[in-house]
Amino acid sequence: MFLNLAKLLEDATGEPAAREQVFLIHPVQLSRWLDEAWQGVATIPPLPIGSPVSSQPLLGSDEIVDALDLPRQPDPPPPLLLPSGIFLDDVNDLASAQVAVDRWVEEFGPRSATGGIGLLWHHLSYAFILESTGLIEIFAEVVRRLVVGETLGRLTAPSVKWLRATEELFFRDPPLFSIAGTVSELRPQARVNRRNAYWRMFGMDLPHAVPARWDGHGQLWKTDVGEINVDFRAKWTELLRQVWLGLENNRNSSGANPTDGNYVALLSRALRDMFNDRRRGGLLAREEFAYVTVLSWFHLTLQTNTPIVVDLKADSTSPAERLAQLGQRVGMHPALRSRELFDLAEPMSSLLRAIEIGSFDDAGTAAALFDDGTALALEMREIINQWQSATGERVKDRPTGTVTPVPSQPLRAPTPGSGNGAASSPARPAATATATPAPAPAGAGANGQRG
Amino acid sequence: METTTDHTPDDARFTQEITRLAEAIRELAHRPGRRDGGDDSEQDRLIQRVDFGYRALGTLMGRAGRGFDVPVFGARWYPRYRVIVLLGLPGEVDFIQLQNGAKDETLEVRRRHDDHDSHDSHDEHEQDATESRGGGFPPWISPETFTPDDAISSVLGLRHRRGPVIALGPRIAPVPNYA
Repeated sequence: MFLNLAKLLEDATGEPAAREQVFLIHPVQLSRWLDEAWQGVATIPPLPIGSPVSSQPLLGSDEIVDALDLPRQPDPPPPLLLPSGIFLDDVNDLASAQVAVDRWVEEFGPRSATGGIGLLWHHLSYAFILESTGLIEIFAEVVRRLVVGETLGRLTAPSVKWLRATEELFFRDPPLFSIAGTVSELRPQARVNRRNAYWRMFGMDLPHAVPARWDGHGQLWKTDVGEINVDFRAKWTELLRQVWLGLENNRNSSGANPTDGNYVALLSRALRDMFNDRRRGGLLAREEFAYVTVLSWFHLTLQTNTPIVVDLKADSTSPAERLAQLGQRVGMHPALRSRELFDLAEPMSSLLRAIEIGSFDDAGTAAALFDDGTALALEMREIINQWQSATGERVKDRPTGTVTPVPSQPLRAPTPGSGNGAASSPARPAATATATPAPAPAGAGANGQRG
Repeated sequence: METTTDHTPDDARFTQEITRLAEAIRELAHRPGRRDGGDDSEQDRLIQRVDFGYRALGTLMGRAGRGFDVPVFGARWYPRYRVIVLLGLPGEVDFIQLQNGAKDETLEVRRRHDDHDSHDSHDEHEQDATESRGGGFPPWISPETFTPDDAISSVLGLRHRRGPVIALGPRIAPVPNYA
């Protein structure tokens, strides 16, 4: 959500530098703003926008936002429910933005800055892909070093503000009754909780282990989870492969065209159903909001040479390079393919969210994925390139040599009673030092295995 | 009769120009965002809508660049005059499409500088709306199918009556106690 807030500041001022003002807002305001942002989702027009409304409700339930939002408030609100006070209506340049982030105004919600339309957070995949870089563990160590000693040197005032907000928002118990409060006595470790959500939604683990300092009792995130989306990665890769076929042949005016819009739509619907199965009744909506929020804070921190990045002598030309420099300061290394993962996170999140709400459910709408006249097709090229580069899966390659023709749709009969999945085959140890997201155990052939 | 295949400097320049022109036409035909006119096929219009929906989604998700800057605007009923005032509407939006699950309606946007043939009936509304914004009269529409007690789930800004969609408005809740 902090990317949304940064964009509001940038749009209001026309100055990209205004994005960094987010780090100067008091954490109590940011914390309350998150509750308001959650509530604002209720004003988003039906999705997919501009098309017939999907039967799939956003976030798996039409009622989940209302179920967890703040209570209705009288006007003026009682002291306990003070609004965030982040008000951007009179922000029009960098100077006014600097004033606005250091004050409190009795206005409720981010709506005034967005024409009455709420904001939407990224898909859980955004958090998963970014956390795969090792970003949170590196920042955790940076923050720990900064608050327990002097090994990282002295900070300027803006960095001190960043440090305080970071520790208070993400490395301690969240404020009481906050929408971001997904840590409790029953699920005490945020890093384990996030892995649990990734495991359920994508059937994949982060590529790095829980650091020894925080490691508790094995892979807790895989216990008592029930159904998980074991088949996500296979279907996702196949979708990318089919879209690439479409992109390659988009301008064919003669000859064979292996593009199969119906198959792309079928895969899209399969992914949609997979996600919505995990979201029934609004499951994972709050967790997704909280985890995406955490990652967006650190992503925003690395997008430019922010004060903390400069103070820690990590200024560079890309988020991945800055992360590597920060890692060096504390003796850690990010994932080898961090650059690709940073570039992949937002496009993949947008695409999965669009799939989830049924944007590509038939051949006609699925054709937009490989129509060269659209921004969407540009995005697909980016996703395919970055995914292939980040994971090493050869999405674009065709078999060479003599190949027996096969139908484009894989023939794979379900195996009754295979009982595969995390429970029956040894789960991949979380400590593997792979550079890319780790898939679910091989051999899993269907959605919804017991974990 | 003497013939020659020698090229004069003029011929070379002419050939160069032709090549350059052909390249330019090819580029124009294939460049992204070409769907901007009003005479596309039904499939083109569908793809344009999907693409717009995707870019609008990205805009709401806080993305920047690559077309993720879909303009948004505010909208609210003035029930007394049965008009919807459009706040911050981009200048290139000439039509508004209202939708809910049961019906939809496309309306031409009225602006202060429009021909004021039905202007008298809106005089008071103009004054109210202008004052409510502290000056500067906003555009408006006068729905016929929708009334203030209808929930409007989608408000889309169109460049022409049949598209493309270029801006996004909010949900509009029914006006309480509208008689």
